[in-house]
Amino acid sequence: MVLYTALIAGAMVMLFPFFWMVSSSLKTFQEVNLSPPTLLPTDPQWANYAEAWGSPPSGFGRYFFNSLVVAVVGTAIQLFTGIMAAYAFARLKFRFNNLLFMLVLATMMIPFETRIVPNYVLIRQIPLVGGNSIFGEGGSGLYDTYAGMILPGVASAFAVFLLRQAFMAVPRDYWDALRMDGASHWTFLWRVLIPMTMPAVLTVVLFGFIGRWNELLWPLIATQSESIRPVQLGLMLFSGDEGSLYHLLMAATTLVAVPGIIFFLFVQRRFIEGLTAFGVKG
Amino acid sequence: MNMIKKSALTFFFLAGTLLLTSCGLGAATSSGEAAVSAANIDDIDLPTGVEIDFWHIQATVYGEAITEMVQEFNATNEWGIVVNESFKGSYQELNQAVRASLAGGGAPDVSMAYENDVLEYVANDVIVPLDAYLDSDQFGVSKDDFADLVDGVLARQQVDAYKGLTLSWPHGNSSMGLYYNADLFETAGIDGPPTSWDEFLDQARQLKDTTGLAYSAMGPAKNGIYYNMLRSKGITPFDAVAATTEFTSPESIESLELLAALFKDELVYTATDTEQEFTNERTATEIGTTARTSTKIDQIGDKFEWSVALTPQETDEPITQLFGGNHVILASGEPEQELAAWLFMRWFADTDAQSIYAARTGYSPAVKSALDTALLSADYGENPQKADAFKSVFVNAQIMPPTAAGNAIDDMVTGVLEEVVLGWVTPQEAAERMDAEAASLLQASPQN
Repeated sequence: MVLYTALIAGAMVMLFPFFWMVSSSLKTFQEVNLSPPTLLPTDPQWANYAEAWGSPPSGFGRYFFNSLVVAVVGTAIQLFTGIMAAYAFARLKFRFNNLLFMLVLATMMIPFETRIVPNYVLIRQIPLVGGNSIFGEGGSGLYDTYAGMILPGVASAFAVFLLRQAFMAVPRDYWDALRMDGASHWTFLWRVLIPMTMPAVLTVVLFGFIGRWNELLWPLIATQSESIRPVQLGLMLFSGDEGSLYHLLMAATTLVAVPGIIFFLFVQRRFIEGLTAFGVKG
Repeated sequence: MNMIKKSALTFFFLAGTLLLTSCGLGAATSSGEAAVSAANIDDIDLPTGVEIDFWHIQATVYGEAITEMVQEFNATNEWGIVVNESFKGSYQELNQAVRASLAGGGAPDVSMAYENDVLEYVANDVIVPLDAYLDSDQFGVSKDDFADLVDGVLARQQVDAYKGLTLSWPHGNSSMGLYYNADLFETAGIDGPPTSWDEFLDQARQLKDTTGLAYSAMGPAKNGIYYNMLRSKGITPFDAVAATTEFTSPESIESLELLAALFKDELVYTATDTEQEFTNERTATEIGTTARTSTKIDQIGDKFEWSVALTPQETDEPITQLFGGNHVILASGEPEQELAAWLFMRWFADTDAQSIYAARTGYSPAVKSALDTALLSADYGENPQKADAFKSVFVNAQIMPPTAAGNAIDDMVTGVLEEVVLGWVTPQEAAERMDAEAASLLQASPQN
C-alpha cells in the first residue's frame, strides 16, 4: 500500500508538468498570466491550437515534416554507423581496438558549443556541393539543407558505446556455431546480433529520435529559410527577447510533444530493458 | 610497421585538414578594405534584384512586424532589392551564428547587434562603417533626417568606442521606465511617481504601511536598476577607456544602501517575472523595459489605472537606460551588396517603417516624425501608456558606455548586488569588490 502510494505520488509529480502544459494551452493570454494561477482554464480556448498551428508563415505542419525528416533520417544513419562501429569494437580483433574505443568515448566530453564553428565550417565548405568548388568555395555547401542539419550528428559515441556493450553480452558460441556453417560477419550481425540486442537498438533509436526532435541550436545556426526549420524553432516564435505568448507556446508545445510521447509508449518496455540490460555492464 | 606509419600519416592528414578548415576565416573582408568614400558610393550602379540576408532576434509580435516590414520593403523599394529575413534566436544565439558564419562563410549582410557585439566585430575587422553612406548625395541621410532621430538613439550609433565612426543604424528600441498602479497610489495617498530616490523609499514605506503591499519587485539581475540609480545621480558607472569605475563613489554607496534597505524592510522583493507581480496587483510599481507596455495593456485591461514614467532623477539632465540592438552591415566585399544592405537599413529607420514597428509592438520609434503619422498617432491615442513611454521615458534614454568587457561586468555586478540585497555583504564591501573586479575586467578588455 505504501509502495503504491509512493508510486502514485511519484507519477503525479512526473505528470504534473504535462497537465500544466495542457491546462495553460487552453487559457487566454490574460488568464495564463494570472498569479496566483488558475488550475484549470475558466473558459477553454481550443482555438489556441488552431492559432498556434497556423501562426508561423509556413505553418506547424511544415515544421513537423521537417522535424520528421531530420529525426528519422538522422536516427537511421546514426543507428547504421553505430552498429558498424560497435560490431567492430565488440567482435573484431585489431590493433589499438581499446585505445580507439576510448578515443570514441572521449568525444562525449567535447561540449556541443565548441563544435558549432567547426561543424558549420564543414557543412558550409564541403566541396562540390551546393555550388561549392573542389576547394569548398563559392557556394553555400550544405547550409540551409536537411543534410546540413542531419550530417554533423550521425556518428554518436553514445550509440557506439551502448551497442558495443550489448554485442559483447551475446555469448561467442553463437558466432562459433554460425562460422561452422560458413556464415559471414554480415550475416551474424544482422541475423543474430541485432535481433538478440533489440532493446539496445531501440534505445539508440529512441535517444537518437528524441535528441533530434528536440534539437534547437544547431538547426538555428545551420538554416536560414523559415520553411526548412524544425518544430523546436517553430516554438521559439512564441517566445522572444521582449516576452512570451505562453498560451500559444503551450498549445504548440503540446502538439510538438505528442509524437515523442506516442513513440515512447510504443517502445518503452524495450527502452527500459535496453538501459538496464546493457547500459551499465562492462 | 608500414601499416602504423600509413595510419599515422592518414590521421595527421585528416586532422590537419580539419584544423585548417576550421581555423580559416571565410570570405569576410575587413572593414578597412571595405571603407569607401561617399563619391565611390554614388558611383555604384545598383543592379535590380540584389538579394541580401538580414538576421534578427525578433519573435512573437515583433517577429511578425519585421516580416510585414520586410515584405513591404521588398514590394516597394525602387531598386528591387530582396531582403531575406531570418530569425536567429536570442542575441547570444545570433552572435554565435554570426561568429560561425564569419569563420565558414555566409555571413548575413545586415544583422542586429548590441554595441558589445559591434566592438567584437570591429576587433575582427568585419564591420562596414556607415559614414560614407550617410554622406552620399544619392543614398545618404539629410540633416533633417539626422535631427529627426531621437538623441539617445543617434548617440548610440556613434559611441566613443567607435573612434569617430558610425558603425550601426537604428532598429527601434525601448528604455527603462517606472510603471505605477495609479489606483494603489491613490489608496496609499501617493500623488504620483517618485521624482527622487529618497521619495522612492518614502513612498515604498507609505505604501507598505497603508496597504501592506510591497512597493516593487525586481528581477534576479538588478544591475540595470543599479546603473540607472547611478546615472540618475549624474554618475557614469565606469569609464571603459580609462579602465576605472565609480562603484566606490558616495552616490554608489548611497544607491547600494537604498537597495539594501528596500529589501531588508521587505518593501521590495525579488521575482523572476516582475511583470506578473505588477499586473496582478501584488506590487504598486515595476521598473522595467518600456517594450512591455503593449503587453501590459493586454494583460491589465481595465483592472486598474496605470501608466509609465521616468525613474527618479536627481540632476537637471534626466537619463535612463536605453535597451535593444541596432543594425550593422557585415562586410561582404561586394559594394552592391553592401549598398543594398544600407538602403534597407536606412528604410527601416525611417518614419513610415518605424511607425509600423512602434504601432505593432511595444518599441518606441527611433524617429520623432513617426509620431505624426496617422498610424502611430491613432495607436498612441488609443494606448496613452505607449505615448507616455515615448514622451516621458524614451526621449531621455541613453545606453551605457559600451565595452567588450560589458557582459562580464554585468554578470559580476549582478552577483555582488544579490549579496547586498541578501545582507551578506555591506554596501561598502560590495562597492570595493565591484570596483576591483570591474577595473580588472576593463583592463583585460580587447579595446584597452
